[in-house]
Amino acid sequence: MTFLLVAIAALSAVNPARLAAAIPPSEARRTRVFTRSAALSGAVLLAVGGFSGPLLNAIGVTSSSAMIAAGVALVVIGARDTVVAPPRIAQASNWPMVVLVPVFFPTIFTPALALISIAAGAERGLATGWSALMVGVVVSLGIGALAIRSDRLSGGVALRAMGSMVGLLAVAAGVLVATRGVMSI
Amino acid sequence: MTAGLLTWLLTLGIVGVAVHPERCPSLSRADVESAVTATVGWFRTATADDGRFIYRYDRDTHTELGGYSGPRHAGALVALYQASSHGFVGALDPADRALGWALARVFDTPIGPAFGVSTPFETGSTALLVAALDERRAATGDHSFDDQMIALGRTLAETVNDDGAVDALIDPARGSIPERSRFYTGETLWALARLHLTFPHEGFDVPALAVLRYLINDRDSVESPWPPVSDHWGAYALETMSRWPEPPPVDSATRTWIDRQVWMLGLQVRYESQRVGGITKLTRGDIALPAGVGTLGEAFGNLFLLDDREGILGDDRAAVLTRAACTTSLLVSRQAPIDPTDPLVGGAWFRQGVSQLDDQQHTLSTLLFTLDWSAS
Repeated sequence: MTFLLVAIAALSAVNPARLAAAIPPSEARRTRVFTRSAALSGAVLLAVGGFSGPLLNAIGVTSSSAMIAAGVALVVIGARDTVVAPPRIAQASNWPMVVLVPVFFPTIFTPALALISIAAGAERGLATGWSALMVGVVVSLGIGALAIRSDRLSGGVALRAMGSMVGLLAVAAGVLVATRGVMSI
Repeated sequence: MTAGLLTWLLTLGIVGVAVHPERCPSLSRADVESAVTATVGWFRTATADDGRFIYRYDRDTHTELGGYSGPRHAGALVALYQASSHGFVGALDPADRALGWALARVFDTPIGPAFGVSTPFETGSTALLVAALDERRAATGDHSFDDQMIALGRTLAETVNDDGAVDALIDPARGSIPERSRFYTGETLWALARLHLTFPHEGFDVPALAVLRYLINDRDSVESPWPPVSDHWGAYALETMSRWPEPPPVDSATRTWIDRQVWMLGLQVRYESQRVGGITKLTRGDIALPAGVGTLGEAFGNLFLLDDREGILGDDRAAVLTRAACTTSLLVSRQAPIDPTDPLVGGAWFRQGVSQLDDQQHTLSTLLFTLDWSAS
């Protein structure tokens, strides 16, 4: 998997339209949610990527099959995001726990992101894999934070459209990732 | 939160059905040597006094199921002489008996002598008989069959078309028949390549190079657009040609062909190693024919030897070694243990209770290649 493919896979696994629905709309809190979510994601993905090799060895899965698994998960998540509209934007509540739920889980830490993290860590190495993932996650968080305003202006249409488009992107990225897995030795 | 948990469960469930762990039992060199000894023992039991092998055998009913194949008879000869070359002395006796059986079935045809069991003769029968004779020559130092090898080689050269395609059948009355075979092209190329290596002044390089060009550039698109042929015989041929005094260069087309082979081999091993029973019987089906798994190991073995000379695998060698080791470990773990009540079971490989001659042929060759690459 190339750096770009991992980043796009991560971006589409963390659908910014769904993030927009999960991030509180308050300007002040939005920035803090953004930075804390990014930091939490970075730490968790570092741990997952760091353990990817021993984990795959323990369960007897090659990095090629891990890529297929990541691709399949991405297709599933992408299919969901294509047809199921993101939830309505929630008002800020139980701050600061919102960083954990629902922003990090289940919105950022989808099964697709977890499996991409494992596959990328095993195939590209921890540093490269993690960097590519974080590019995707941070870009998705940024788009998600910005999307709240446009969604207000469009009456919800923009967010639904973005959710579906990113869902399609996830399906395409998933097919590519799975194909890489099938085509590798 | 609940929706998120459901998404996780659903996604992991789908992934679990689509992707399975790969099980490759651990293996020692002694395990491989024991497996070879057991297989050679099976051949000693399964070779009749006249040199005919037991062809298909049902271990549940303890009955021979009949049928026979010239290419597989000759292929088993190759494997036995390979074993003899590796120092498994017990292989020579059944091999020489079976060679006598084959030589008694070499018939004159309009394009020269050809080995066949039934008409029309498969070109692969003659090709693998040539390879077996050459392997025997290397194992024993006996040159008494040189004239026959060259004569059979001339027949094979006659089956090669101008474009390098190989006629798959030889009619005793009409000569070669322009049919194509997934395997006889590679077998014929390998035989011609061996002949040129052993007899470098007989001109076998000309038809061999023509077949090589066809196999690399055109065979898949002409004969098997999809999937491309997983061709262990082609790997044998490339390895042999790399030992020619003036080996053909490994050009970009050849590298592309090799890369495709390596990919197909790796994919097949990964898939096969996921067949561990339980739910995988539904998602992956029953285990593959032992002969089919054996061909993967033969291809790996030849590609390693080629890599030693040409560096064709590059950074992929470690990954390919892992797949090759997995192939051998699957085979060794599936070999039938000695059965005191039935001497035609121990050392053989069975699928759904039935073993066929080539199940032992290809697996034996794979085990021998494993002894080679595991030593290096």
